[in-house]
Amino acid sequence: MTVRGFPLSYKAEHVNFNRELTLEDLLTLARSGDKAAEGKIFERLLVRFTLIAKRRIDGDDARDVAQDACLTILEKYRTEAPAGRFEAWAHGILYNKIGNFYQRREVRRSWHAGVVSGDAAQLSDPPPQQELRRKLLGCIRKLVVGNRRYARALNLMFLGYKTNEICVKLNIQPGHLYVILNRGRRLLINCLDKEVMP
Amino acid sequence: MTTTTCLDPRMGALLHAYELRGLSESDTVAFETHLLTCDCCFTAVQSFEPYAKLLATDAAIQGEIRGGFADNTSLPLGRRLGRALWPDHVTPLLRPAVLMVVILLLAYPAWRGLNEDPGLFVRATQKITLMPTRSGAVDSFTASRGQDGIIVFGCPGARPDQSCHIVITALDDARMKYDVTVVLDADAVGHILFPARLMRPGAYQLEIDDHNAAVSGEKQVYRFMVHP
Repeated sequence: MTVRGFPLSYKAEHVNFNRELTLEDLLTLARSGDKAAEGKIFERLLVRFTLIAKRRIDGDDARDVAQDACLTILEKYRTEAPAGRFEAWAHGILYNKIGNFYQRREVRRSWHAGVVSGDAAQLSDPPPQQELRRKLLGCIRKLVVGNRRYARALNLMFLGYKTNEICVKLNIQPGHLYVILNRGRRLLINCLDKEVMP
Repeated sequence: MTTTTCLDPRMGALLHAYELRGLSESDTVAFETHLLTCDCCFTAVQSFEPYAKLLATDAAIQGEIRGGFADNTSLPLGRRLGRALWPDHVTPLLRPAVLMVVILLLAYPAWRGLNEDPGLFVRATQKITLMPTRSGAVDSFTASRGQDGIIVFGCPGARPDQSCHIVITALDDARMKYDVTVVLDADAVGHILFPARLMRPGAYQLEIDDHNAAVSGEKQVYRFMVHP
């Protein structure tokens, strides 16, 4: 028996009904047996895991890995997730799944050397969206002239430097670098919003 | 409903560095863990992801940025001048454009001072000392251009703090006559200002008009020459 969809066993004062439930709230509900909360956790994690996985794995494989990680989390979160550190634990599982994916792929490649070309074709980037590219190029041209510090930091990043190395090179504090980057990002987004589609 | 503010601004600051794949491994893990709970950052990363991917992978875009730091002689003169005067990598207060404004602000009053009415400002003066001599030789001075003369003269027999009427005339120009009343100082020495506009090369006579000459009963007269 539940009230407003939450089990009676759950202490209502832990949840502020006027705001969106946080991951922590959902976790508390799910641990007390709320299937709807469990579903919401799955949804929320899946979309975030997919985004993170796509940065490391191309194509549909990223979605599969994210789904796999979510399933593992749903199986184990009641028993294995450390209290108060759920996010770190969940992120660790995703990282392990990504690592497993790369291991499996290497094994597959060694077994079927001929299939590698097929894999590579699947892993290659989709054709770039020309419109996005045109807009971005136009805005970058403006930014390079208008915000030299941002352009300089971008350039160093593209040359492979990490933030701490860039700070040393530019002789600035990390906080200052993040301010430069986020200010540049805001200008870039403003410019991208203004760019008119042909 | 999506949260519009970041739950942890300290982590939120890493947003763009993460999008550009510029964070160290530990910072990346920390930020991704933050992404799991923060809707604000997640939405931002998700919406920017297509551009972030292009930024990270597109050679033309990277080339555009790199080109901005290469030789810029192909740029128009105005833009090159703008970059030279307002370079981004220099602290704002030290940028040449700012320094030029500061220099102009400092130089303008000086320039105005040189061009304003000389009477309004303190100017250099030259001293012309006239003392009685037995030989009656005529003193001569060089007129420095634009400098007023301070004439210091002695009045034999005069009392300290006495007032005198002084008349200066040019011996070769009858129109030039400058008269002024002065009060002698404690040593019975008088000081008058002889304006530069009146002081032209030539011979001058300084006459102490109403001096109470108890000794001789004659007027004390000095003659002096001003050379160009």
